[in-house]
Amino acid sequence: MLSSKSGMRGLWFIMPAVVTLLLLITYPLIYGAYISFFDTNLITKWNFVGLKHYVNIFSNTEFVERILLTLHYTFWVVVGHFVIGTGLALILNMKLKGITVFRVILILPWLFPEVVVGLLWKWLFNPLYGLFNAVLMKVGLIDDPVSWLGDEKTAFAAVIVVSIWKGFPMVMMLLLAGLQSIPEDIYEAARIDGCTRSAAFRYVTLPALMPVMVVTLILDTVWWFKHFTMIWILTQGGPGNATNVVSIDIFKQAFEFFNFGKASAMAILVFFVCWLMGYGYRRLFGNGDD
Amino acid sequence: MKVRKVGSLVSLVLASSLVLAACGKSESGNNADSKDGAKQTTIRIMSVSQTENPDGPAEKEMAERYMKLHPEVKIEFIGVPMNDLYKKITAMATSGDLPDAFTMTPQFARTAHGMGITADLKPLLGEDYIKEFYPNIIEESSVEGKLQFLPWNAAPMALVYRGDWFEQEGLKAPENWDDFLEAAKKLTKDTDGDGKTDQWGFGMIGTRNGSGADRFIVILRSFGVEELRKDESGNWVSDLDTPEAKEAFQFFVDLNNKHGVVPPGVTETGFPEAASLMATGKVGMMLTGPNALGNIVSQNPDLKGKLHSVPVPMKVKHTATFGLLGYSIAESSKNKEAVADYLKFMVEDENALAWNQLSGRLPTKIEVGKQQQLTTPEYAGFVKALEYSFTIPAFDQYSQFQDIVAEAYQSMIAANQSVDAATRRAAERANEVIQANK
Repeated sequence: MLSSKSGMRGLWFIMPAVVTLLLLITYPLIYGAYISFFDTNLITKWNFVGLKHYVNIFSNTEFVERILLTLHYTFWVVVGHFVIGTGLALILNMKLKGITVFRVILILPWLFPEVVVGLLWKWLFNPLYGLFNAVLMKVGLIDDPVSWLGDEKTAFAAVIVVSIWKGFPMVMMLLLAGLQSIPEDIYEAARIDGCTRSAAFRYVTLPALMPVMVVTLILDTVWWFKHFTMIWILTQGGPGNATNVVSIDIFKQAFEFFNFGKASAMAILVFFVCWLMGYGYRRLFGNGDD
Repeated sequence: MKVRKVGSLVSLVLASSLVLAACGKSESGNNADSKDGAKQTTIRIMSVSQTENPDGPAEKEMAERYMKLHPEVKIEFIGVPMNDLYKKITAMATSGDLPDAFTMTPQFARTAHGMGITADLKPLLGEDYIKEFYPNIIEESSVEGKLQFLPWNAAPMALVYRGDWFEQEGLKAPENWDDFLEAAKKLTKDTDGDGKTDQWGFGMIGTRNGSGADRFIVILRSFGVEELRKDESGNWVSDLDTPEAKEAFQFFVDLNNKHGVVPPGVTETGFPEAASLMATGKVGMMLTGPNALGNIVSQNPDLKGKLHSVPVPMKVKHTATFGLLGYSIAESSKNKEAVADYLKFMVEDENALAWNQLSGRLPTKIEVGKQQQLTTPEYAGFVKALEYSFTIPAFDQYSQFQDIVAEAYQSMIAANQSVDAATRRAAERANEVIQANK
């Protein structure tokens, strides 16, 4: 039992964090929810409309289609991150000569700003001047330039490729940190018990890495589910609606159509989708530290 | 112990006030003493020209000339790209940090007026002064009789074409879309004999944004279709699923999908890309405002005098947008008179003509419009196009219609959606927007 004096002192210690959280997270969230009940231009017009925006969002299949497209996008991006990230983390965890150089090189995509990555890949994909078309035409794989970002069939895949390239280093570094925290003694004990390399991976590495993997999975999924910048730069949600993920739709509602109320309602729904995903993962894999 | 508690409280308050002081905007920043001791007024202007070349440096140079004449005024620019302008204005308005003046267009003027962020310029500039401008331009710059922005320049949409290529091919300036298609086909060719097309007739802008949509809407209107209009009983209606609309969409999409007279990657080609294609001799025609002339020639000075203009070809009529650009004065500005004086300076005859020479944009004052430099083949088409300019419908959610038509043509180009399906979806969305705004 804490004395009231030490309790007060504790309160003072957590005060900066509480104030920061209230100002930067709680207030915007509550304000966003508040706006979703209004038809507003945020300055002079504040018409209370109740649940109208929510009803409107679910009155057709458009929003659900966007959510499904976003889930589809997120699924492939996260799968890509984990396949590449895990593979590279395992390699980087080996005691090989010059491995630090590779660690530095492989983390580079994560260090570039998203805007830079978007523009860089946009130029690489360019049908007239882009590197990909030039190389593919030179080796004879294609006869005419392909508009990678301008064709509905290829634009979605192109956006996923860019997102995987940008995001795999974060997964790689987190898993590498997780791998390095597994005590060597456990592997040694497993070896003494006659464990093979693959069995050690299955029965030692994976269980020990699971807490880090779950946290990484939640972070990565939520992060890419609400991703906006690179898709906006690459395709602006097009062509047609091929890459029109939910964050692009919210942005357009707010800053192109100036429907701030509807945009807020959509954002609140996305918040719940993200929360549900996190909850689902925790239920599925446990809390990670069990 | 009490002393320590009070001490920590005081420290916290001091730290908070320091943080707040650092985050808060300076109220005293607008007026300061100049070197000679006189009061100096600082005016902040948010300008899209600052992010463009050669417009940005030229606008700065004009402001410097003004500051030399008026040492009591200091002008500071905030650059913002055209595609981000409306977002930036909205964000700054909601945070109470609007600059004294900001770029404005007729498309956004109604929304800005609804927000109450623009001052009525009529009393500031005077009725007599406003009479010096083309009346239809003043009408386009006003909402409910209030002048929302001083129209600095006009960039009516017209067809820019390579006059030298047309001459070589024995082509005449296109009057209608059949002429246009014939010319586009003739100009699409393999110039280096490697078996691959490397020159195209038309630099089509097919992005899903205002830049692409505005161009298509001009084509749509040339087919006699209005994306949004008021019917006889005064209700808003859309013609987006009429046979004429389908014909317009099909014609536009066929330029890429059927005739192949546009470079690959049309849905990725925005204005900067199309202007670069024109500057590098990859395309022979593009739909654009006269500002493209300055942009293209600055990239390739050899093209000076080779770019001609003609009104947008017609199916049933010629059409054009005004392409007006000007400056609004913020209702919250404390320096309205000073800003108004600078804006008057910008549109003075000499400055307007110099600006036209440099950027290609047309002046908005009647007397300046009569000058000879605007009758050359480069500008004649744009000046003529002003006669065919239509007024943007006074509808609060008009920007949604830009997205509606852009979604339709992109779905047809990139996903091979049929014209019936694309226009049906466009009409449905249009009707939803109209219903929601009743």
